[in-house]
Amino acid sequence: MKKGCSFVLIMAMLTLLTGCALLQEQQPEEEYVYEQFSPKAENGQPDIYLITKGYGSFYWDTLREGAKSSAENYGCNLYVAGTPSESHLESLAELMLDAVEADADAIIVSPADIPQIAEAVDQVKKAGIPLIFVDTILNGKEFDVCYATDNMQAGRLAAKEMLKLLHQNGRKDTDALSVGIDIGVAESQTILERLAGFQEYWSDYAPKSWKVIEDIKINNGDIELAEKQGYEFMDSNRDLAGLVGLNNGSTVGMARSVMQRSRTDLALVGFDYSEEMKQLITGEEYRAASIVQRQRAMGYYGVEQAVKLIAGGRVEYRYVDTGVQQVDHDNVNSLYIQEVINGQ
Amino acid sequence: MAILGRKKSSKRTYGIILIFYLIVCVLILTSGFIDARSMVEAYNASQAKLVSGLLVENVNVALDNAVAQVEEVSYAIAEGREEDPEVVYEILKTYADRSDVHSTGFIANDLNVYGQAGDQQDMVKLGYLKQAVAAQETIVTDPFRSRISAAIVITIFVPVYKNGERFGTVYANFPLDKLQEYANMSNLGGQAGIYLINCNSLNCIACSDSAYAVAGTWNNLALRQSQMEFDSRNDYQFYIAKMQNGIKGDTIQYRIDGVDYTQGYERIDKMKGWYLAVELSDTAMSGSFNRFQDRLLAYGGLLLLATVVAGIVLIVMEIAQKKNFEKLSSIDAMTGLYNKKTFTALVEDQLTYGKDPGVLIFVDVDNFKIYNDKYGHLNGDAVLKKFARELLEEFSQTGIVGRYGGDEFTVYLKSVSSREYVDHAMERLEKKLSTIELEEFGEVALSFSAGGARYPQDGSTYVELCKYADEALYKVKADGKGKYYWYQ
Repeated sequence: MKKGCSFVLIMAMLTLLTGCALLQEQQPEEEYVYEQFSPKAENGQPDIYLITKGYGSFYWDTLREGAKSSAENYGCNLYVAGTPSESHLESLAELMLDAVEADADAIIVSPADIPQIAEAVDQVKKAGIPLIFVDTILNGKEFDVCYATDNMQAGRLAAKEMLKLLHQNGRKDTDALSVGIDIGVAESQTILERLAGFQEYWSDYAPKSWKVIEDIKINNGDIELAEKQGYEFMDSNRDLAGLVGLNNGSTVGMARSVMQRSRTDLALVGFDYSEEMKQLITGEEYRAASIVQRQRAMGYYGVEQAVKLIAGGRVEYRYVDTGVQQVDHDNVNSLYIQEVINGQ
Repeated sequence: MAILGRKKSSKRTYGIILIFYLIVCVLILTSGFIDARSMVEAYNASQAKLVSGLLVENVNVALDNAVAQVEEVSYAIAEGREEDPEVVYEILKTYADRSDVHSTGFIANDLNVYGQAGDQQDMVKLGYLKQAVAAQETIVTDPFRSRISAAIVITIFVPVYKNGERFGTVYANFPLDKLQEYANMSNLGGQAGIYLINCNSLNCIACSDSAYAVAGTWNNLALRQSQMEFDSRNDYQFYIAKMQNGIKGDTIQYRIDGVDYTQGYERIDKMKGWYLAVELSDTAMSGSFNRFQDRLLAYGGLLLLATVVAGIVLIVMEIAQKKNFEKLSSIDAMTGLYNKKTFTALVEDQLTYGKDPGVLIFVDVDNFKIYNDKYGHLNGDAVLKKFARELLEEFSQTGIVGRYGGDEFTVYLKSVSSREYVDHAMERLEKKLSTIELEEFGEVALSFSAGGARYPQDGSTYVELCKYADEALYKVKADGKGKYYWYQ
């Protein structure tokens, strides 16, 4: 009977241990600190709240500068807050609710597709506050207007640039060649739309013997991994003629791999104007192009439209593509492109 | 040692039977699981094909209706007398107000668009304007995001001919969410991913909110394929090739992140190069079937566990019972001491395997027959019990105590070589056993005679030790009893 008791005891201990393990897993996360709004000015001017899902980077700071410049032009108070990265998006929803609580005249937000934000969007609309999306659009959600890059179109432009660079590299339509694509995360609608745009343009206009490598690589935001994936593309595809990075991190990784191996025969198309891309585009050895967004315009027009809506105006278009610009060796030195690169 | 050997052998047999039973149970459960799994897969494949077939039929009907409506309006314009594009646009606006379309308009042959400026900008941006004017028959565009509504739409372009001459082109923006309504099944509870797929670019757009994507979300099958487990990739490539070769419909099963999916596609007639696909995970479409399977496994597992526990409990009980029986056959029922057989076996074991010195003592109740005759058998038994009790108290820590038979007791002291130690113990015993309280007779005098022999000095075997201890006892009896002698 003693053995029977031992068995029961062992089972009980296992249950307790499992319980302890579960308790350990449920330990609360460290408190997360995010940027908060400054107090209201109470000067009789319209109060516009801008919430961004990033700051401290060229992209987000330029968007904010555009919004500030617009607020100065139109004489309104702009309160800016946000999360330092996209890893704590639920804080965005909290900031939206803070803005509602503060009795905002209009809210401008770069949203993300998570349930908390959907609920916050409902709260904003319930309060009758004009809501403007910048950078990202949410499918099926109530908002007044969205200023964002048409990422499908940006993807198409990336494909068009790649075809152009491949031709410039002396590739013939009859050559058998392949192009590798690297992306940040597979869940980002922005990246997925760029990918879809790229594939659409490629299937419509690329010569039939020019292939996109089916194994699309995902680096999960890790630039070192992206660089490694660049080498993998080179090592496992003898006919590799081009590399594409569909977001900034992927592009930097691809650019580093190309420079490290001095693969001047490869064409590179990416997004945003990083130091690495600048080196490749401005230099004489490599064929490279970057697709640059107009984030300053998103901020500027967002505030401009908010002022109109506060004054009782109507929106003409609910979705405004702020456009993208391809930057390559041919146009990089023009004044206009330099302004675009510098976020003007 | 023979008893011990038998115990081990029976334990091993039980262990083998238990393991064999467990293996059989696990085999039965595994084969049941595999069988249920293949049923789920077959069920999912047939359901995906059925569902995608039904949904495509709905989508085709919806698209046919939408195209038919625009074609009807275009026919009316072709047959009418209005030649001013502005007037045509006004007619089209009336049509738009009573239909599902978001916006509509007229494109003159000179590429002038009579409609909302946003529509024109979209058409220019996407290259549809020239394409529409050049088309000889109705075309339906790929889905795109409308500048005016911010919704995903498709545009239907219908050429208009008047008196055999091209008059212009009517367009209407049809919202994708209307198609989504047709390409959705409420009873799937958002568990099915429904997509429009372009077979050339391999782009796909979600038609319904599901566990996998929000409606209107783009993706690409190449990316989807790169997320699949290696074994599924070739099959999926073959599946896509079928789509690209114009085969009307097919189904496939694949695995992503340990989850099995079934996908079925069907061709959409009105959208060239576009297919409608339904993706189901094994945990979604066949949820109830899977739940049944999971419960079957859970209950099977519990039954198995219960059987194992019951088996272990039975074995433990049987071993305990056996021990009890063994104890009963080795113990003297009246005194609770070892009987002669067991005492002999234990001492022989000790002498065979232990090298320590020891002492064997024979203890005999003096004049026991008188107690039986004078005070009755019950009191005689009481005398024997008292002896047993006192002997155990004195020697159970260091030795083996047994009843040799009748009024004779035996004690073997392990690891004892000192005569003084034994002499002191016997003196204590003598005092304890000098009287006994008997029922009805009160206190009665008591004494015993004892003889001891030492191992290995006096004898090296059990028989020798018995013989010499008995000789010492005989000497005590000869000297008038009530004493303790060592073998000389």
